[in-house]
Amino acid sequence: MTRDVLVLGQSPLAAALADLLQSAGCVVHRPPTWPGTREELDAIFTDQGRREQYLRQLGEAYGDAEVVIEAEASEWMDPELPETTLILSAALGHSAAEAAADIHARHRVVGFGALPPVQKGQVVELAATPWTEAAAMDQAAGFFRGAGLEPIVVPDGPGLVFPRILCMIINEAAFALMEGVASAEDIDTAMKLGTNYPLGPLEWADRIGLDQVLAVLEGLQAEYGDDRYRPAPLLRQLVRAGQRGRSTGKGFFSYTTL
Amino acid sequence: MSERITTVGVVGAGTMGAGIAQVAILTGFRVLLHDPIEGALARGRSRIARSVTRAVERGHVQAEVAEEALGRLTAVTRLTEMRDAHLVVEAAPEDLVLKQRVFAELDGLADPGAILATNTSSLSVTAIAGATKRPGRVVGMHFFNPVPAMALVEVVAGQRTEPAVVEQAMEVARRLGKTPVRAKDTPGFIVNRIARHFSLEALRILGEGRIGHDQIDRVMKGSGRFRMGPFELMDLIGIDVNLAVSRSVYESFFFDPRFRPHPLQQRMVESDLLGRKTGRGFYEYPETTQT
Repeated sequence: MTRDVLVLGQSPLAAALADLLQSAGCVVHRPPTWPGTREELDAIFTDQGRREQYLRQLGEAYGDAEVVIEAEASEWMDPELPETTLILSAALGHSAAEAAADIHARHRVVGFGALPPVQKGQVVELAATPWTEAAAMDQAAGFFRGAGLEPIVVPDGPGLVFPRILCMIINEAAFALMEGVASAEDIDTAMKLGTNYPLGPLEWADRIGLDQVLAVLEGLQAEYGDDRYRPAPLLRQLVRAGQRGRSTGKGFFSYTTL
Repeated sequence: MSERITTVGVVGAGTMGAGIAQVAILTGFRVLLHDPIEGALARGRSRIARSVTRAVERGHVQAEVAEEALGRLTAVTRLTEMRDAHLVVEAAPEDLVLKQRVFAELDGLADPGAILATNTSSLSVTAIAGATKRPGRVVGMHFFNPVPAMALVEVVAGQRTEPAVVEQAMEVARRLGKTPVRAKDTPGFIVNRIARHFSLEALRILGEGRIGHDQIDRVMKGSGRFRMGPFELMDLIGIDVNLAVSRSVYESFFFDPRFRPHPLQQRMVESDLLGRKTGRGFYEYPETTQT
């Protein structure tokens, strides 16, 4: 099963999926012109000429891909894709329906949910949009099975099931840290030894990316209009300061390269 | 600094008290176990003896060590016997008025230098300390169930707890073979606060009516690698117990919407579907026998 896959996004999730798919035998493309920062991306999209060039290059990469994975929210799903291309959109900061609404081939869009670390044997959530055709759902399930993941169909919505629940747990840990209830180390130790969590919530957040956690919470708050989802200010402060987790060397904890 | 603490009093011979007493005797302490209800005291002693025997059978503890340890356990029928304790750990029911009464009594009869610790999981250590004339020597030592298996102890300083007392509690926890962490006296401390969302958010998703509890559990175990899903866990702990803790934390935070419990859980409790202990909760347990 050598699937040609295009993975869009610079997030830890995009990197984790790319690694998993590569080890499963897929040919994985990550667009070579991918800018390194939000600012660079914004610069490209405000410049008409650069935008057209970027989309053209993307279109060339798209053309070969059987599966396009939008691991991070993107605005560049313009190119007209072949009818057979499967589009998998991470339903984290928004529902799959919201992502599909802007995509030409919305009946080929399937929402999915996963967070790093993504390992063989794990479950991946799949969600149908109002327009998703049954064949696309089947194709998505088969694709993920081929990559060693077990697909489970869930209802569409920001954060689906696992990312939604985990981000609320992480959010509470951030509030507790912010309020000085305990140190970051003690919070993580407590959750692992007191209730058997596989990872401490703060180190888990560092692996996922604090901006990703923030996006899920903001997506839930926007969708439900409920203050229960309001992100801890500490999360915003760290993201604003560029401390997004492992990928930036610093999040709730510091990660020095030795 | 805590080496002078060799005799530990345990007030309450229920699951937690018995577990704490067991761990204490197996790590070299002399333990005075008390429960105001005679039957409960006897049951607690038997529970400890049975549990230690099982540990020997499984090879976790040597038979001679176990026998010697059980010899250091004394069941006391009167609270006044706690005067010999260097540290008293209170593991009475989770009721503030009850705990304050116990602490007021202990304050009057325990050695003035003794540390009085509470195993409360959701009440204010400061409020409990306020029932004594020695709030500086009152500290929270929150153990986790089952005590012999769970390494964590949350050590909680009340508003007036002396730093030296906190350190001594940390040291005793380590001598008990546990991993202590320091937490401020806030609702739910660390674990019970942060873990709320594991069940609260899962209930919200269930309440939206588009996915079953079994699928939610499958996803949480399969995607998050949690040992148990939220609904299996609620059934194990008791849906009523889980709701009581959620309500306590919700009220203690003055109704912050983050902690709002779900009507669905209330309905489960009202219908006596409490989980394993009633043979049915979110799942069914046909093999459950009434004890």
